[in-house]
Amino acid sequence: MKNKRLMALGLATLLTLSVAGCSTPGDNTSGSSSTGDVSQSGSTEKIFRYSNVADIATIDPNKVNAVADATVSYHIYDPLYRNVQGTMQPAAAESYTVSDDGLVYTFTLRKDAKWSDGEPVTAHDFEYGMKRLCDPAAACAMSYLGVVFKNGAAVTAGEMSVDELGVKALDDYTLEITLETPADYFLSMTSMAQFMPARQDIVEKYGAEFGGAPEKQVYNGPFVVTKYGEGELLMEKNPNYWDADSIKLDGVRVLTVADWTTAVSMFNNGELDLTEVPSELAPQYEGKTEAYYSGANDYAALNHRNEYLANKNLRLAMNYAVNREEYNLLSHNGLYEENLRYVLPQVRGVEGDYGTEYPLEFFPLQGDMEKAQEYLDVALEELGLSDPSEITFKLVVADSDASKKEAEVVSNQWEQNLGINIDINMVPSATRNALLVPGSDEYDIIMSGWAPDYSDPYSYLELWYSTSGYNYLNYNSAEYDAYIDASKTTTGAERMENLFNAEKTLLADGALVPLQLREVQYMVADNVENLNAYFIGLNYNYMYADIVG
Amino acid sequence: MTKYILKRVGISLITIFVLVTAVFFLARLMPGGPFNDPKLSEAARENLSAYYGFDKPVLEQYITYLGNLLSGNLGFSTKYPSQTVNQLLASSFPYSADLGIRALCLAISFGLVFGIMSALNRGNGIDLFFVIVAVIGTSVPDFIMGALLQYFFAIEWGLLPIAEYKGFAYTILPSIGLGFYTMASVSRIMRASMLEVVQQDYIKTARSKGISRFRVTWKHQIRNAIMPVVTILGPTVAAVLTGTFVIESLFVIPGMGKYYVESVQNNDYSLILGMTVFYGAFLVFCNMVVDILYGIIDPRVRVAGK
Repeated sequence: MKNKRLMALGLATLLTLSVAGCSTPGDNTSGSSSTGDVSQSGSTEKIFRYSNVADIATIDPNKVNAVADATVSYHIYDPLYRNVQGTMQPAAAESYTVSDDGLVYTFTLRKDAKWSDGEPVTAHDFEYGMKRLCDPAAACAMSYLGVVFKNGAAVTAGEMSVDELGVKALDDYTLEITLETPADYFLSMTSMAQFMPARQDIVEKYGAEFGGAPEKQVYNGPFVVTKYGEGELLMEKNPNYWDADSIKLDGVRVLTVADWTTAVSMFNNGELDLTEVPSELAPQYEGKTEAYYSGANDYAALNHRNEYLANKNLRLAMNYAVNREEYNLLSHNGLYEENLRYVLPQVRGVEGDYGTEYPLEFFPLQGDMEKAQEYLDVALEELGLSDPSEITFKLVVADSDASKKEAEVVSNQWEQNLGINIDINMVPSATRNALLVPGSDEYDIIMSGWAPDYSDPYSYLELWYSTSGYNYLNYNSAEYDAYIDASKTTTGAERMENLFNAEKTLLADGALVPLQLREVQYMVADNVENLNAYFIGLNYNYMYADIVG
Repeated sequence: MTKYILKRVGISLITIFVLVTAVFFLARLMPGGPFNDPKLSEAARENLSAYYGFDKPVLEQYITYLGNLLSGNLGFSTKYPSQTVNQLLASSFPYSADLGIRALCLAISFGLVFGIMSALNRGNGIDLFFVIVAVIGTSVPDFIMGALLQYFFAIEWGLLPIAEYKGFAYTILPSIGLGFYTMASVSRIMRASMLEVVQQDYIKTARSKGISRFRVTWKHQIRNAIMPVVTILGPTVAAVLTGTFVIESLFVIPGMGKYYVESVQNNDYSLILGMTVFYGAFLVFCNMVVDILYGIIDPRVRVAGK
């Protein structure tokens, strides 16, 4: 009898649960009003909606370590100068001066800038934010960017006190920044999330939880965060922003959609205003998509510690044996761009694009099998080998579908065109990443790439300086080092010439095998105006975007 | 009964302790460490390690972790620097649990009905139909099932929302997608179990006593046949309620599923442990409930457990 009642109770509970289906966890917070569904309430709020594959990891700009997060920081904070598609526009600073030696930057801040809580934005906030970036106790992931400041490297390494960092507020509205070496690109770095200001009182109030929720932070940018978590981030226009009149959007919704196919469906259904299009769907949307360079260049990194790869002629043979056109077609449906040099041509040169000012097609698009054979023959002789099949390289690649395909295509080309053997090792990307350090013998070839932090060839070239902490090629060229050194003491065209020479040296040594420049395909809704994609410091700039009609 | 339950609770606690210990050390054996972004400088890596206390001896970290765990503190995630694991779980579990309960209700109710109907109509067309449904359900993976449901019902026919989780209509497709497999296995198990029970002597006895066919099926056959279904419910409830990566990402539901994959990919120690402890404790709890339910449904278990 008792059991029967119990079962009945259980059954009743089951039924209640299955029909009580009207409320879901997010009901209160993500109702129609906040999602920009204009048809329902008849409101004319302009909400721009887009998605990312992963949650925004942090809204604390100094700690940002991913481009999607940097994009959010760009819109909720105001830097000294704002990088608007490559043009540096005064933002929290009105103007700046540089000393003749290129070392001391003095910024004059605007006096009408306010934080979202009404407090004025001062030079002290910038000083605190930049010191926080370098402070070992704050443990910001991208602290290495702070090496640009005088004593930056020593402060980050804990060898010097934070007070000795070359960042100083002279008064409330004057900020003096001293650099370690002259850096023409420094102004563009001030636009990066990591260089944003921070309010000491708020950071200290919330400690480790600073930025963990919208209210545990203050903002000085065009938007403020109103919701952060449960797979979405909502922003509202910041009425306190000094240039609020130029901001047309009422808000932004950043949704986490892990699957791009779902995102494309939502876009087609009018639920998103911007979506990226994965390469397998790209042919279907031909003509509707736009593309931008993500900034990443991908290459097969050769480990010069390997006895065979230490041979320059063999490295050159491997470079000429790659048909980059075929590679791109087979591994990416031809949607990426073949890279025939090392540095992304779109980064800034002296006045305009580096690639326009310093054009270079170092390796032929379809390779050159005759040249490859010549280099191979010389290499075999130098190495005392009679047959290329005596060479076997261990190639390490991260286990994503795309990387796997890239590795297979390029390995196949080497095996076919040179007769050497490639042994492909797939590992989780965390494992792959851990191998990207100088002095490792765990790989002979490793598939990797680099995305620039600022728009300058140096961002790519600094990696292979002989003593650089990133030099996982174990490349050691006195000539290359000399050009890089020279670039640090020169400015303008002379400096750029040094960097260009460094790039040519790197390629002439066949130090690595450049493969591709990544391009991202995306679609924007017709009624969205003034949205721009960019490759440094953020991926989409919707600050001045508008929704019309 | 009390002794039986206390014994179960004790075993459960030991299980969780062993689990935490094993995962704690295994996570640290994974190559790469949590700060493996190739962009990070050596100094940044060291600073981050110190910030999270990973620079201390592993044993010390372990003891600290156990201490924090006892007070319910799961620590800060390394991937989401300003958020605690508690915070991440608290915001994602309600979604996973909500979806999971809906999926389970569908799965159990339909699964049982299908299984019983199938068994009662053994060999004819109805049976064949339900068997085919069950085979499809157990053999089609959820990412195909989910994608098909989404494609036809939401994209092609526009009957239901494509994604997100903002109201009843949004829950239908993911609940079916998530529950289909469980429904199919429940129906298969129920069918097999029904067919086994029907050959037992007590069923013949009951029939020969002249009890109606309906009463025999309802009171004797189903009651006895349901035991194997209860057995699989423990792990199933735990698995379904704590989120699934595929269905959640396909239907844009901010549940826990993604953290299983993400935490391991990023070597996010605190999140890996947090997920394991949470899932493990939940699984152990569900199994304990099942053990206790056995005792209620089948008195023989209760006696044997004493």
